Amino acid sequence: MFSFIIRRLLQSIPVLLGISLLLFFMMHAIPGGPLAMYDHEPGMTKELLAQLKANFGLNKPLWVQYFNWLGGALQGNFGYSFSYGVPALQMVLQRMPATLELMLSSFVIAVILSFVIGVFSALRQYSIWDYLLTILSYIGVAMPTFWLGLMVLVLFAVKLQWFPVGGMSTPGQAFSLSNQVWHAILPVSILALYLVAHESRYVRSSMLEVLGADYIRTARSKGLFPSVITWKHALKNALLPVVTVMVMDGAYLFGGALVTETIFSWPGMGRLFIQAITQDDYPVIMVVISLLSVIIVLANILADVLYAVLDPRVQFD
Amino acid sequence: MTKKHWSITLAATLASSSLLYGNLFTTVAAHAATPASQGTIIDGLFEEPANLNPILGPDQTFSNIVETTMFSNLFTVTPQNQLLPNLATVVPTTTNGGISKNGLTYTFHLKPNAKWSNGQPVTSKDVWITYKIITNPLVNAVSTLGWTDVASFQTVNAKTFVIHLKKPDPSFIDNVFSGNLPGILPYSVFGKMSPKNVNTATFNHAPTVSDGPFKFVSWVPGASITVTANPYWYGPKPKSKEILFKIIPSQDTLLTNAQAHALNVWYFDPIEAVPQIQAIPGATLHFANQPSFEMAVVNVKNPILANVKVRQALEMAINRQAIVQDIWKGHAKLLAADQPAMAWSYNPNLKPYPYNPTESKKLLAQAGWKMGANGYLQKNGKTFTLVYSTTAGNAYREATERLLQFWLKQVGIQLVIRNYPANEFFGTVLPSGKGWDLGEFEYGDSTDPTFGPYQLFTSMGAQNFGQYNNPQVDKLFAQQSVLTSLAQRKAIMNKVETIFHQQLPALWYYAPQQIDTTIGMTGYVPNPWSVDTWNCYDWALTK
Amino acid sequence: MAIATEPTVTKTFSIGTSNQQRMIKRIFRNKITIIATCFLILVALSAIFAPWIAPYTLNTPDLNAMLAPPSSVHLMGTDDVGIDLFTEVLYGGRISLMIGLSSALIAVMIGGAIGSIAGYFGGTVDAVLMRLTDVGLSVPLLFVILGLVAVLGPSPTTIVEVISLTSWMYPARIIRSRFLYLKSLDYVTATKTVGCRNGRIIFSHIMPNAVAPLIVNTTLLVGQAIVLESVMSFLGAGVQPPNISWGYLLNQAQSYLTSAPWLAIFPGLMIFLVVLCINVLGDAVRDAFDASYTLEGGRS
Repeated sequence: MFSFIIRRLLQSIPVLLGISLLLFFMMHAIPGGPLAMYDHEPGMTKELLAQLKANFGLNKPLWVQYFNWLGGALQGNFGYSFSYGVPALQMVLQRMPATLELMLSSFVIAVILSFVIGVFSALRQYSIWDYLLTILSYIGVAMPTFWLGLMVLVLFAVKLQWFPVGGMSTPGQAFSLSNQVWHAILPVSILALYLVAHESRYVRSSMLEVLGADYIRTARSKGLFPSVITWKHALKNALLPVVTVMVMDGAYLFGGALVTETIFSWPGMGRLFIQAITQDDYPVIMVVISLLSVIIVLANILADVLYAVLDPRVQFD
Repeated sequence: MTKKHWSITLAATLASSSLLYGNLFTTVAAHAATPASQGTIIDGLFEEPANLNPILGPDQTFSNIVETTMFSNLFTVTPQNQLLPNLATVVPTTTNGGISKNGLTYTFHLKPNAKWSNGQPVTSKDVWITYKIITNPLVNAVSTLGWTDVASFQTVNAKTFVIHLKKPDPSFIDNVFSGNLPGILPYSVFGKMSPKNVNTATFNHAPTVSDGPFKFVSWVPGASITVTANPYWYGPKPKSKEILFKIIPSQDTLLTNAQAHALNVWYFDPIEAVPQIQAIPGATLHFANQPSFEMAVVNVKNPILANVKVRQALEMAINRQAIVQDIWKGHAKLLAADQPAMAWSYNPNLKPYPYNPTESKKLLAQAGWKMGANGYLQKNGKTFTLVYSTTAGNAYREATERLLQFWLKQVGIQLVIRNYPANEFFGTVLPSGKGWDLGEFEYGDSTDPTFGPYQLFTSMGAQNFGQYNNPQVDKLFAQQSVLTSLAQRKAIMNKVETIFHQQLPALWYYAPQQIDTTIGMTGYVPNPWSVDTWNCYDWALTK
Repeated sequence: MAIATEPTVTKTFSIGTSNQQRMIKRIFRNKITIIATCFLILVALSAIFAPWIAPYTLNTPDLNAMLAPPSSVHLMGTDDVGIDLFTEVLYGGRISLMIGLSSALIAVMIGGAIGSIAGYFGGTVDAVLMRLTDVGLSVPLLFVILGLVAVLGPSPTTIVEVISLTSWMYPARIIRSRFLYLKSLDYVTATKTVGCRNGRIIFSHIMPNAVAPLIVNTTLLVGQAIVLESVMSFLGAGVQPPNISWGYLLNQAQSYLTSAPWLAIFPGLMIFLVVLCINVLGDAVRDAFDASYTLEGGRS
């Protein structure tokens, strides 16, 4: 196991390098470019534009730019944001806690709920409850976050006034946990909803399948109590594909955070990323992407380790 | 000077593009005995400013909005487009001797009581360091327009300085001391700074020394910026204690904030939201004419569009009156050429083309187009197809496109829609001149309305995306650029406008109004020549 | 009753009917499945025959009826230029169903192939393919959209390509995790010792047991793909008029979410119902698969 983890970590190095190389070139290939913002400014001339290009270090060949970036990045220097003029890494790190708060709380809630819902509806397959939960979960999948998020804001923040209309805390007020939680409830629910909808389907399907397996039937015929069967035997085996999905959802959460953060004015890194992309702020884009790919690669190692923990028959080779 | 909101957010937002160019607030004669500043005004910002250094790029309307509360420049433009002294004591003219007869020497006097928020006086040294920094190539300045014409800067004393120009520039004061720049920099901060450190100075995100009605308190990244009344400001005491700029990057969320009374100011509201804003109790909608124009630039490199008859046929096939009436609900004015009525270069004798599909078809037939079996016009075996491009995710433009597609089909023209995110559209697609035949966007005039059309439609222009080339127009622009008499320039520009009307280097659409909402406050006066915080010291919460 | 009946093990041998017929019978054993199938057929037919069913000509604005709420004249209301929404929803089904189904299928096929090869062979093959999946997962969606569309230009084909290229990683990892588990089971080892070829083991012996989570994934992907297309529309990379899709309609509705909610509700409802029905059908297929497989004694 230990050597497996070490080997995987070593493997991640070329993967991460590959990702950074691929994305660096993709980023530069997307039309627009960071100078578009300056392009049509009054008095902008070709000479000034060339000077700006040099100031941003964009006048060198692309591969030189990449190795410059890589050299800096390996020393923790990701350069300065083109539009903000502050270290890109610092900007992202400033926004990260907000995003982590949003993503982690949604993730934990979603995992718990989707297990409860998934197992429940699997045990009562084809019952009214099963259908109801199925319908609800597909509402979660089919309703775009931007629509649902806004509807929730209109209902709970404008009409009922139970919750604030976005933000992470009341501006100008000293930090208080209750205030933070009060602000977090709506965005966390919206982000969790999609995950619950999505993951509970996998839990349900896995449970159904395992419940149909021979050994469960045997256990049942032996007169074991249903609840013991369900939780001890079935769930453990149902976990394998579910763990895969959940680990990947951890990475996918970021995509959901982009929209949720925008609608709920959440000062996180998702919004920063969107802004960086619309402005082609290369240094910021690269920091976010590097961070994400590290997280994704680590999460997948974790997933493989979890397989082995859950099912000793899975071998590592 | 276009200042687009570059944001197109993934979520539900429209990048409502309003083009302003920024600057200052006025010196209003002393408002005697104002009560103590009270309360916090909450401003919704659609886009987070990149920095709060008034001379640093990129050029963003929302940076200017915040900066204008904290910084002063020498002059202010009023909503009536009048230049008033701000930090300066008087507007230099040839009559008062502030500008030399040959138009090359300008003398400026600073107000004796103008102070920075640290209590130090504003002096010629501050202006000098601003000049040095802006013109340094290592600094990513917001705009060097006008500054590049400076031959020398001469400090006479602490409150007086003289600038010599290389060539006469009638827009010099507009461009340098009022137009595009919200303010000047403090020598105490930048005097000893190496120019290459200016782009990354901590001052850019915490401008602790400023000279406007408010001063910096805090900036919570991604969330809010707070400014508080500046006790050292020379002008009237601000009526509110604080302004809190809340960053809300979605127009839909801005609307819900307005509905929940969670903000006092919402700039640049989308026209689609107007009925909902009207339903908010206590909300005031401000519709202000602005010196900008919406148009579809014609790519005349396409041989089909090189024919002026075809361009006229296109203009008449589009029911622009209906767009103004039904999409804009009358909050826009139809145009006959580029310039809107509030620009001095506007030619009142020109009338917008009528909506006349019959005439349009006739012109197309004259140009040799015949109706084909597929319901579209044909010539030399080719179908009349045009590619129409604009910024993606913009509701009124997308609505316009659907109407255009329908109207043009009525005269036999096939319209292919191809939209791009704003950065791609302005950064790559338009300048390349490839892949589009008609490109719709909005252009904002500066206080000098000849600047825009010069850039857009002369062979010397940096933004002549459609490659329009008319030697006569080039000549007229060259003529007016050296004149200082407004009447003479106006006569020339009238000719230019007439040519633009007939020749249609772009399909002229309309001048949209700027729409802003305020809730529970007084004193808000939109300023189409500056930004709306120009008189923020006058803003007060009601009750 | 703690445990519901298990339809998967109903052992009703119908001697004389072929395997296929048995499968079909099992799939449609449930009334809900029949309803779902009928609905899907209805949507497909009305998309195909839209020109004959639609009450208005497509893309015909009526400025006197802008943003009209649903009524007998306009069943689903009208949009911001007075185009009849019902007409658009009918036509929109054509592109949306095509995009949703084909991109989901392509994604699952790519992912299924990569995942099963990686899981079955393990070792270096697994390492390489899974690291490739990591790369795929790390590329932000926005990038793929902007990049690919810039290169290929916007078209329904590009949309399918973008969606399948960004969605194959899920099925790949899911299938791989199933294969890791299944290949260690006795019956697979047995088939190996008997000398079965790898291809046969993968397709006939492991795949049928790995298919359940894949079906869930496919049905979810159909819905995701249709919604994703609206994100692409927002960036100018999606379907553009005169072509209409449900995703386009959803995107267009964004500016009118509170003032004209029907613009989002009807296309959203269609996506929801279609995805729901596909899921019901998918569940039935999976159950039938399970049952038939159990009957043939393939399970360990």
